[in-house]
Amino acid sequence: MIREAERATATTTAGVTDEGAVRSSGARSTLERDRRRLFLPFVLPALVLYLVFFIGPALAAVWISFTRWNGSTDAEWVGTRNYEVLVDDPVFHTAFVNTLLILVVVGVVVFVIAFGLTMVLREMRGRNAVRSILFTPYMVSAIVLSILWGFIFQYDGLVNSLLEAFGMEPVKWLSAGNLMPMILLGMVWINVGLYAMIILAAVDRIPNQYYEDAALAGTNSLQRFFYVTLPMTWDVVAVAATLWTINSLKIFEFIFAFGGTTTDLPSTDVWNSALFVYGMSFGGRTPAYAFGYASAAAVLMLILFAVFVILLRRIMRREPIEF
Amino acid sequence: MRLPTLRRAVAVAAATLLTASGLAACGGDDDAALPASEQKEFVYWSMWQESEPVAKVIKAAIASFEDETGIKVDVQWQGREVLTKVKAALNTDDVPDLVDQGFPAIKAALGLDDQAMDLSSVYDMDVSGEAGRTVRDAVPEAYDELNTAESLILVPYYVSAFSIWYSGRDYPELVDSPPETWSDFTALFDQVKANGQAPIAQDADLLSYDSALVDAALVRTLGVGNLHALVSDESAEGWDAPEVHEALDAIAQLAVDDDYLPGYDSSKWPAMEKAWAADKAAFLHMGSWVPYALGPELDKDYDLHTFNFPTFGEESAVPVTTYGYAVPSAAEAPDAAKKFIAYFLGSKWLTKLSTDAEILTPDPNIDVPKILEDQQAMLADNDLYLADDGIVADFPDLTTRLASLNQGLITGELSADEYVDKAKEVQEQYWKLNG
Repeated sequence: MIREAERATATTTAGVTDEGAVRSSGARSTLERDRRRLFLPFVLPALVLYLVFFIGPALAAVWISFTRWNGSTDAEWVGTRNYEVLVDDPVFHTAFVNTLLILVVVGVVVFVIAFGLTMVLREMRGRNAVRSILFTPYMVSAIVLSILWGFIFQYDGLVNSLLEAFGMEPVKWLSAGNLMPMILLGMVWINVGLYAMIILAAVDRIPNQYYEDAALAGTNSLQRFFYVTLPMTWDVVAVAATLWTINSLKIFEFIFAFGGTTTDLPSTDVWNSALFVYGMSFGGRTPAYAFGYASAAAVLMLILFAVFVILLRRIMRREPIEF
Repeated sequence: MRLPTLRRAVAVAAATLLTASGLAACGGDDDAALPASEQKEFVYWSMWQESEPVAKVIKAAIASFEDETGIKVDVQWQGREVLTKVKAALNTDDVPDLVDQGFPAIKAALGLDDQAMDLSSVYDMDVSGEAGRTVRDAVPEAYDELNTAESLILVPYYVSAFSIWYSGRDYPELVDSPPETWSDFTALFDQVKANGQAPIAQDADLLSYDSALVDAALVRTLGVGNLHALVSDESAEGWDAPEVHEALDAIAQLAVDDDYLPGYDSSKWPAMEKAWAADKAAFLHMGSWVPYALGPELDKDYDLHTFNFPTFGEESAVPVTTYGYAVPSAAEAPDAAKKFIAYFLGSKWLTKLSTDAEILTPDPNIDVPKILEDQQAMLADNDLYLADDGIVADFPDLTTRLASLNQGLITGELSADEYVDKAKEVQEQYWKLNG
């Protein structure tokens, strides 16, 4: 019905006068011509920058990944050798597993806490102040946070001083075995505020009558979450999940500064994919300068994560609910 | 009408990419040097920060050099990451004429690809203000052995030796008779513990310190040059040698016997070295920068001393890293830079490095502060070898991986057997890529 009405309106408008139509068409074509003329000057600067600083280097990285190149002499073509070695590399395996741990474990914990906070904060007084506090860790530089965490959790740091004050034994929070769990905890702490904010913004859009209706129907808060909050924020959650997937691949500074020192890289036991690429190229007191191998790792991880994002988008695809 | 616009955009994009790649290809001209007479200025990228004591001596030398020669020095204080920046600059026309850093880092960045000039001729140049005295007089030939590149790509002005530091006030008997063997050394630990101290302070989170300790032990049991030979072997079978196990067992035992300061495996550098300076531990295995880095924190009567890494047999050579000047092959004013190197190697400036910055210079005739006398004597009385047996300079990727194993061994996470298994695995992997 709507389409028929639109068609009828369009026909009537077009048939008012031919003169009007011609005038209108002439105006449109002048406008179109002007717009076309301006298209290139407006787009070109951004396009050039994008090509030179993003697409160009990305394509170059793909090419470099098929070479042995130390950054300053001629690159030697080695075909798929870098990739063949990479799939057997135990350090790359560790980096890949750690990247997945950050993606999955930190991701799940962040989203569970973020949803938990939305349930608490939705009806809480002073929630804007709480939001700001939650968001603070995300605003502070990851390097500053990692140094702060180092001071707090090291053997004679604040946390162990408190434990000792209560007569407890100090804990080796930063020992080799505990370092990766501490990094995961740090990632949760830094990121939960951002994702709680995003989800809270989506929850704020939901008209209150749905919650009132659900409450009248006798639902508890968990049921309201599953039958009102989750379905009505699903599209935002899907975008946030994609955002987290991409961000988790790029995490670098916190692990670098928390696990390492000013000059030395952290142990390979806590490397993720970004640390692996850095460690094989510019990282460390005496860098490896293995740019071909590092590029192969970057390209491989990019492909794996692109596949993951596509799958995630497919799994999370739902018809958005309009309200 | 949209197609031509799109086509034009694609053409522009392609042209941009081609231009960018063309520009990159134009960089790094190896024959960039100006005629010597036109080299009135040169660019120097320094490994130091401007506020550091060594930088202050260099600044004074530059001012004096400019006055005397009329050659202007454009010095940029880049800090320790200077070679990363040099490496990136090699593909451009903005290459410095002079850089300084440790030999392993310079060899890895410039020396393996012929990107650094042979500075043999500099050794024959006269130093500043001293007739008949050459750079060779300031840098004994013993240091040439540490320059494992194909030519002399470095002129050192600072040498750093790893050794074991302690308080002469707390352990006066060691001043005249330091422990010579590993068993002599570990036999002291009961006395140390009875004094209420931990035997060793070790910042285990700093991987290069962990590697310095493990590699020192390995070189003691294997002999100089054999650790390098071991990791150069694609089969990695050398890790099964009994000498390797002897060294690894000795280091692993320290964790088993609780010989480290508690928390060493769960702290952030420099917590442990600061704790050592506060007298909580007796011994610290570290380089010649201890007086400079920790001296101000020691008690006035601490009486800082040091002794050579204990032996496991006959080998008693001292692990040394040389720091100094290199000239990139693409430098525009290499002759001016070389003039400055020779100028700076004069006794006046080396003495200032020793007294004002409290670092060791290669010149054995330069007076050193009392706190560096032990090291000066140690270098004079023993053979020298490139720290870590030169494996960091030649196999940086592999040593990064081995460093994590060294940390595991020191913290007790790995036994000697587990270490060997993993070391073989990472070495085989390294040679799969680089063989």
